[in-house]
Amino acid sequence: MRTGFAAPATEELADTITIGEYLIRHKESTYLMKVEGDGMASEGLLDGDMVLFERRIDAKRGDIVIVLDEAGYRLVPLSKRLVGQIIGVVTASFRTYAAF
Amino acid sequence: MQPFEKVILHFDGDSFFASVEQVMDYRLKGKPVVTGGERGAITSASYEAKRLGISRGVTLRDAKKICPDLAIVPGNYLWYSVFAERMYTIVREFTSIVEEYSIDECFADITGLDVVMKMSYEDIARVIKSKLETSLGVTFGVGMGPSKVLAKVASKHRKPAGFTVITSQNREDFLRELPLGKVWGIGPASSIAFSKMGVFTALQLAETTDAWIDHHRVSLPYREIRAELQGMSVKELSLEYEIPHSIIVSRTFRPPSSDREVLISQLSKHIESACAKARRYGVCAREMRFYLKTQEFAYKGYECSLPLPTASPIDIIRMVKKFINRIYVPGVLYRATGICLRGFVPESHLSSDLFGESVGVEKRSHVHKVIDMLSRKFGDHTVFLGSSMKALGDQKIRERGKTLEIPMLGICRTTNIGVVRCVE
Repeated sequence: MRTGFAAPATEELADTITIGEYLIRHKESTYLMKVEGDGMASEGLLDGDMVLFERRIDAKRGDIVIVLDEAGYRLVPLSKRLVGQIIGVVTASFRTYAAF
Repeated sequence: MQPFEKVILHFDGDSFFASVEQVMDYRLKGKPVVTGGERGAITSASYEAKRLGISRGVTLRDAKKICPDLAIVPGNYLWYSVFAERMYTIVREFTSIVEEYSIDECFADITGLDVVMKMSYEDIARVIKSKLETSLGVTFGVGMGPSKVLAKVASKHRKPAGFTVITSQNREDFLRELPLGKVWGIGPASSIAFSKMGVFTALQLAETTDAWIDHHRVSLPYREIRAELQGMSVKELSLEYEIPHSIIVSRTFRPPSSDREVLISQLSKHIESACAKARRYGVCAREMRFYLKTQEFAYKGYECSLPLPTASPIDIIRMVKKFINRIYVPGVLYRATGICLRGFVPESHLSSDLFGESVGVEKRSHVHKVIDMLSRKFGDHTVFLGSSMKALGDQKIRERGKTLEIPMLGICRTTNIGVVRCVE
């Protein structure tokens, strides 16, 4: 007689987590943007990457923030001299590859 | 120091639809913006537009005259509902007693929370307000009072971004000058009826005697409003989900087309989405309206009632096919289509008809159950009607079914991950 794998009980399934849950801590304040250009390559963000950011007011030095000025959105590491309005703080990013 | 039993908050998103548009498209920030382009009437006006005298009730043509640079955008109801859900969820982090009153308003009962949070009620309200405003990028008018009616008077008091507290001490000051017709729950007809009895302001109603109320045979809803104006909480917060007033789905497509079949297919896709939403609420529509938008941004719409209340796309597409020629002009290029379902009745209230049409409806409801289950599991439009093929076939291949549940800041009116706003 052949048998398959035992079906996992639902309690065990509860231990799994979706990618969304892993990447998003505060769902209510999180938004998504796509990176254009390689200006942030030094920070590990490449053209076409997706970044998740939270709208919040407690950005700290060293955080990568999304800034809005007349030209549109920009990604910058937060430093003392900053032109424009901070829209949010980048909390995660992800990338897909050619085989996607 | 709270002299009242209850502490109710009312949150009201300032120019909600227009504000969401400004959050999602930075180019609209600080500019006069109105929504409602898809139905040819203003549904919401940004404060920049309101300052120029443009508000709901002004025709689009007049608004354009007042402000030639006015940005008129079609309503993106998916975005608004995502932002509304976020609003409810944020308020629920503080209390479970939240009434989702409408897409841009909610009530919350925070009675007793001052002890739990070791903060004054005013400070709690400010904390929730600031959390809403940072998280959503939209400002809120917030009112606090001992009843729902007074909380709503308070939130309307100072806009935008106001916070007003009505207490037993200042209650009369707020109600003295307030015309009765401005009170929540009192319509134009009843306000005229009251004025004939010599009651013109909210305070006058609050100060009527029981004998006066009995003598004039004032009915229960108005007795409740009177009690609430006096500072007593008698209207319970409704924690059930409300049946929506209407469901609207519309989208611009590219390239523009004059092909009648393409238009029907686009409509078919929207109808499937709208019906799926109606079924989620457990309601059937009695009326429908569909429209086409030309390349020149002109809208042509047709509305009719449905032979039977329905949440089945097939019934509605049949009507579109029957009537589309009333608005479709061959050779004209169209860029968008939309569907609006209205006049909802709960599914369970449907009575059988005399001639047996509802038998077919019942048969299809099994099919819908399966389709809805598949959509929940694999994403919307996993299974779709043949009539939606032209609109969905290619799109499904492009998307590969990948969608995210978070709004993507951008100029493209979509939640498709392939067309997100870019950042440099």
